Amino acid sequence: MSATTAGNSVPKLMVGELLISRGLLTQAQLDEALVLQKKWGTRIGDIVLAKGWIKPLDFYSALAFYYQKPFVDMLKEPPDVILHEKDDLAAYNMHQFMPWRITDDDNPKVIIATSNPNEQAMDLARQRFGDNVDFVITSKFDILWQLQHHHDEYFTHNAIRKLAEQMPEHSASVVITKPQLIFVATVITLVLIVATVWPMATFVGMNLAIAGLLLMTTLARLTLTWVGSDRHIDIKVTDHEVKLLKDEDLPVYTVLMPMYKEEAILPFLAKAMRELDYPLSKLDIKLVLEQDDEGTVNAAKALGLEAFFEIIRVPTSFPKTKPKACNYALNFARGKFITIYDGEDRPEPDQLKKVIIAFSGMAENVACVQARLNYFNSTENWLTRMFTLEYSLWFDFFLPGLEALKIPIPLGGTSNHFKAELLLQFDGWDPYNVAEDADLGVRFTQCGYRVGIVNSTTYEEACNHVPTWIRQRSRWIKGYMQAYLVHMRAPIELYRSIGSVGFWGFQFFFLGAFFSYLVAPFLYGTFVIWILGGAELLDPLFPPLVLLISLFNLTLGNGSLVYMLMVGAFKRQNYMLIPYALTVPYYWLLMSIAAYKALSQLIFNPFYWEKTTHGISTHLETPAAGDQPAAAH
Amino acid sequence: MRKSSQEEAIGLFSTQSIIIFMLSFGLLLVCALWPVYNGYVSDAALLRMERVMSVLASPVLRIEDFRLLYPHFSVVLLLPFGYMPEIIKSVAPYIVSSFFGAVLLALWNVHLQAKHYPLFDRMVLVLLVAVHPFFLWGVTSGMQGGLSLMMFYGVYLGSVRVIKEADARAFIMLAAAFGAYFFVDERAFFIYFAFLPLLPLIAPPSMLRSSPASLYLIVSMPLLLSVLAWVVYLTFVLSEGAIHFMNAPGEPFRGAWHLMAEVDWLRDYGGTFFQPLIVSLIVAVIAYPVVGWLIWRSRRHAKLARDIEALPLHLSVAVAMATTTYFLAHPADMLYLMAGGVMAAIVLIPREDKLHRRELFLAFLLSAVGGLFCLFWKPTVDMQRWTQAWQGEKLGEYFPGDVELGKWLDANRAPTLIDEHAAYRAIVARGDAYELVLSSTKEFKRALQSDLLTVEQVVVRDPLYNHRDRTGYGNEVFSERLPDSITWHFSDLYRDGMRGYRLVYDDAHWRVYRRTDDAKVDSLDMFPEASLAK
Repeated sequence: MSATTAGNSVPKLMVGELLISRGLLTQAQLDEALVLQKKWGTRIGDIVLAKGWIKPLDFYSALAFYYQKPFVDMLKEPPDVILHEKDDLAAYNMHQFMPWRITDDDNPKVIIATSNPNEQAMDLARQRFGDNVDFVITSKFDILWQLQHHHDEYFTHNAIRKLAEQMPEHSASVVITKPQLIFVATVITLVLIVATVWPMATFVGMNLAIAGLLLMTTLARLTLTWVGSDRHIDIKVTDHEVKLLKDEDLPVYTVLMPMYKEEAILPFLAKAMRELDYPLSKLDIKLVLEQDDEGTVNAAKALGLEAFFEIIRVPTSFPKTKPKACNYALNFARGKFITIYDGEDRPEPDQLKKVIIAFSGMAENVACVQARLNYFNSTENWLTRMFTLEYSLWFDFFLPGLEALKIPIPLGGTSNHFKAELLLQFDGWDPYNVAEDADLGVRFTQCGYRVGIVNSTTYEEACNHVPTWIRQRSRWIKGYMQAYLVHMRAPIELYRSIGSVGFWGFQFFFLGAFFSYLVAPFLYGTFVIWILGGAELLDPLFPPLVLLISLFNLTLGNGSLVYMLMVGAFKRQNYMLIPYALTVPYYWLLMSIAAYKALSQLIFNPFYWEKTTHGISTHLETPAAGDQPAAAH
Repeated sequence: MRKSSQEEAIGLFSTQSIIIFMLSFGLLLVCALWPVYNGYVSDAALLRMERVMSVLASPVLRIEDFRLLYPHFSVVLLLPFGYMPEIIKSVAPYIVSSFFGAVLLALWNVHLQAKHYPLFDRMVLVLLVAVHPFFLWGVTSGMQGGLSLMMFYGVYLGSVRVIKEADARAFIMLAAAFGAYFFVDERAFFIYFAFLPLLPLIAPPSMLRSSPASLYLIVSMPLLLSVLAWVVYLTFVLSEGAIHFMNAPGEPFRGAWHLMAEVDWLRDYGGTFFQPLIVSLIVAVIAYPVVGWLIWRSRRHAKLARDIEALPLHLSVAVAMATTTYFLAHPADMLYLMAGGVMAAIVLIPREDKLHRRELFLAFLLSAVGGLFCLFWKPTVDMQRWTQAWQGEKLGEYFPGDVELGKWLDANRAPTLIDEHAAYRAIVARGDAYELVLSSTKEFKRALQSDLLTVEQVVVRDPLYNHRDRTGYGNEVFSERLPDSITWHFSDLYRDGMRGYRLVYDDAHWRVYRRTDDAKVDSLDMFPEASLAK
């Protein structure tokens, strides 16, 4: 503080007292803020802004008075962009300043506009512009806005092309490579030739291959369920450990919340974020909105959210995907850790703390911690029940099992918590992959990093409408296909990097997943023929070994999948959902429809993002008036 | 001293475990082969070996050749023995069962070692468990009980995990054990159903209050799936129908149903529930007083005591159920599994001090005496023969008529139509099933669908042969002949023969007809186009 204020007369008054004297804060609020300051270890200004007790404009004006510096509204007096260095943009964001203007008097001086007068900002300015540097006060929102406004092209380019340029082998911008195409064409040609010469033997061979792959997929899932059911794997962070954590030691945590046309969900989102058990002044929440989505942008503004919410407006560009939006927002993240929540998410309040404890207890190469996902509207209708059953198995058994066996983990769409530094090193998410989270999990493993699972749950809104569900699922499956194609470009390299268990686990978990959905209609058809026409009709296609494997898949295989779903619900104590597991064959049919839609899109429209509509559940509660920020009152 | 014992390697493949396994295996093998040496033959063992021979004789290894009518796993384990010398092949079921019995004892030793029981005490305990007459009957008499005991040990450990942890894995373990049990032992049904009423004793009360149905569903689903898979598979491969394995007389899943008339236990208690339940509880208490001692020792560990109390009750309910359905020939056929529960209980209660260990040894000795007494009470024919052979008495030939037929078939090898359900003893006496046309083959089914046989030889049993009396459910006992499937189709074949066939063997209740040279010409005449083509 001394360096930044050297040569300036600073009033002896404390900031809090100043705010009271200006009538911006009550004594009671100041007392509470002082208590929180001691507890959270942050500045009074951050606390009162985070609490929404004071409007940012008033606060920064008072701050300017405090430092005896002018307050600059950069919307009216924009910065001179020529002073901005591309390499320093991240620092501008991190330290909340930017070079504003040069005075045009005899002794030209570079003026820094800052919302947070601090050592690092001034040092950086001096390194760039010499010692003759001074500062003015501005709002942090002005800095954010000016950065976006003047450098959106740069940020957009980074968001879209950085991965493709720096690590092209990991980018899905090319759907299928030439060698892959040649391989697929060769296989198809060979199959056709063989089928012409030995048609029955070819069909039997294909039947055996399909049955074998399904068998291995089922066995892999059974293994994961068994491994994932170990309670010693299951619990990582206890409530006691959370209690022992001191708020003052907690770092700034960035939460990215990408949304598109979801204005209805905003109040719920704000409520969920306020309920997080984390110092509000250490939250850096970014509402990542598309520039053309004026409805949501205006709704967010109208809510008058506290200062720890920031709106990031993503310029319209191609591909219009969530990972691109997140990559864009990543440029403005200030936290040591970064997570993503969807608009309708309701994370368990202590999730961020649990993640920090989990990270501290895990190996250094753990790049990401995935929280479990489940649904708050599970009992809304059949579809939401099935979705909940599926998620319970996925997040409570499969992912912990994958983690324990060191198989690449396909991250869930939300509630994955990253070390910010590492995420930036990895150039964020692949904007061309529509299941960017799953892809990133594999990329981490391939590069020697690991993903952990934490025993905290985020409750989401399950799709309650079949067409919406199919849209969402087709996107996920398409993303899995993309990720599989990307990481199988160099299979030997993949094998070397993740080992045999990881490699085969990847095959059965990724390939097995979408492959089984694609072949399911044929299997259903075979079953119907068997029921209607009798076994003799299918005899030539099912020699003893194929028959044995196929019947195993039909009965014990499918049965064990049903059982796994039941166990998932059982663990979650969703007992009423257990009987619904028996109806899963109908759910698999929907999966097949989604899989074929995904395949078609992969060929004809690979980067198209099928948007999921949120906020349509009847189980959403309207936030009470008390849930609104104080400033909005 | 303690330090050195702690440093001992603990694991199933440690040197100590391997030595204990070898010693146990040797002991059990001697106990198994001594009665065999004296002429004892287990019918169950013969039945399994016949299956192995049939499978090996098939040109393609087909799962349906196992005939599917009994738990498969025990037969699969016997397959490698089909390639071994006759002397080993003939005792394979006893070897396999003893092997698993020894594995179980070695595994138990590992678990005791982890509880810091001294080596001497462990060896004494292993010996005391192994010499219990019920254990020996289950493991060494040809019932293939060694594997079943291992499964029951797993079920019991799983149920204790439900008490202690009540996590998802505990329930999966328990449920999976039941699911797998179905493929190992036909008693699995009874063990499972008897377990269901006891589940509330071990499951967490909160879970029961929330949703008892889901609790039962979770525990039952794998077994239901196993049965479903079985039925679907049978539908596919068996012309007799999917539930043939449940209603075919003489098949293992029907247990002793067809032996009703000669089994004292079934004559006295068959078709009833509460009487055999009470009697079985008394037998359990006499044969395993060690259970009482364990309950007393675990009285300060309420949950564990509850589980140990449930043990005799569980198996006695299973005995009662199996008696109600005329399945069980003697309580020992089920209660020998108590050994698995007792072993698990000893592992789970706190380690006994030296004084109490002596009491434990004494309780085991008393159990052995009680078990011996129970084995002599209402024994089955097999039990009588087994105990006689144990005492060194040389037994007479087992079904000599069947054995003679088998020897004759061995000496006169030719493609032969034979119903292995009726002639399994003869097939085992023959030594293999090569060139035999068995009921699971398409050739056999085709032969029975036509009016004229073309096979070289055909074996048929006297339709008046009163194999054994059978009974229906209820109290009425009636006698019924059990003709083989060839007689079912060619009812006069045994008495009158068939045109084109001559009688070449007639001994005891078996006859063999062989095709004459004239018949070969006749059969060609029936298909003039085919003969012209040739």
